[in-house]
Amino acid sequence: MNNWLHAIKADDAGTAARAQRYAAAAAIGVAAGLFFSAVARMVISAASAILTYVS
Amino acid sequence: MSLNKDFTARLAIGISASLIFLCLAWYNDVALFLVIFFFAAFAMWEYYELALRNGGKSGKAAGYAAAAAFMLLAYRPPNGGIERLHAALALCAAALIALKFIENSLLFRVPAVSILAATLFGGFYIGGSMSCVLGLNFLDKNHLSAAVGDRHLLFLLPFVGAWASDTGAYLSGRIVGKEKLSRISPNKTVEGVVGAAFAGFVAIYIFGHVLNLPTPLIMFLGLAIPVVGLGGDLFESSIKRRFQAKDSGAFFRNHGGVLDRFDSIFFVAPLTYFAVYFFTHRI
Repeated sequence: MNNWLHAIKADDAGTAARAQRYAAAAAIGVAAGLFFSAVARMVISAASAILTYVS
Repeated sequence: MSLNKDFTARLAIGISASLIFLCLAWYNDVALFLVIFFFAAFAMWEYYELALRNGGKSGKAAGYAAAAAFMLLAYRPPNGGIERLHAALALCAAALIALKFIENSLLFRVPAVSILAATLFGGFYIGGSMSCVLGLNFLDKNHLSAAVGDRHLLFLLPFVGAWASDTGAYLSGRIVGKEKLSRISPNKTVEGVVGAAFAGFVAIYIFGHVLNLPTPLIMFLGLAIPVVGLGGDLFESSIKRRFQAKDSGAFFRNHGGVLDRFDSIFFVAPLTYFAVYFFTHRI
């Protein structure tokens, strides 16, 4: 982490770009996790509705 | 294949499989057992097709029997009988390690040992793992603390964690992926692993709270599932590479076979099962 910060300060383009890519990947990951949780809840609701209808 | 089309297809597979599993779990335990048994049998068929390529040998019938034995042991265990499944899994793992040791050190390149190891491994890798999915559904209520919510949702935990990680890895890798991760699987990137770790953690954190699981268990699974799932993914890739195959089969048409779609589940399910068992076990 210190190396990254130092590299960003020192304007090391390669390391800074890598740090940005990792940060972007983390943000995409969080968004994907939230999306997947919403999908999982939707699946549970749908299954519950289907079974209520069936029974 | 474009990102949108590929992503939609992956999502459709995940949603439909989860919906079918959940409806069956709530409707009837036997139906859930049968559908998981069907997927496990198909995955085993794909595994033995791979293993028999290039002149490989294995005893398919014995492998199917071993897998069936694992799954039957997990199905509706009698009072406290879940330990029989644990003992069978431990014995099989020990036997595999012993066979590998014999092959490497004592009886180098003895075909019978290789055949036995390939056979036993098929039953253990697929049957043993899927028995843990069933085990999560059939965990005796006495093994669960009062804090755990709907028991029938527990078996979705490995699927949610593994598929959320896969989705995070896929999207991060496709959008910002640059650094290659491993020669075993050339499409995987370091950025994808970062995305997988975050996606898996967030999904498990939220779903774990929906299930009312204890916080230490949620934190453990949130950190471990993405890593172990990646291990399962790389492991299956190494098997395919070993047998020079691109996909394990064509069950999902362009999206590969059952082994391809469930590769991380085979590693994540035992981890989740034993973590839930030990973290929520009433001592």
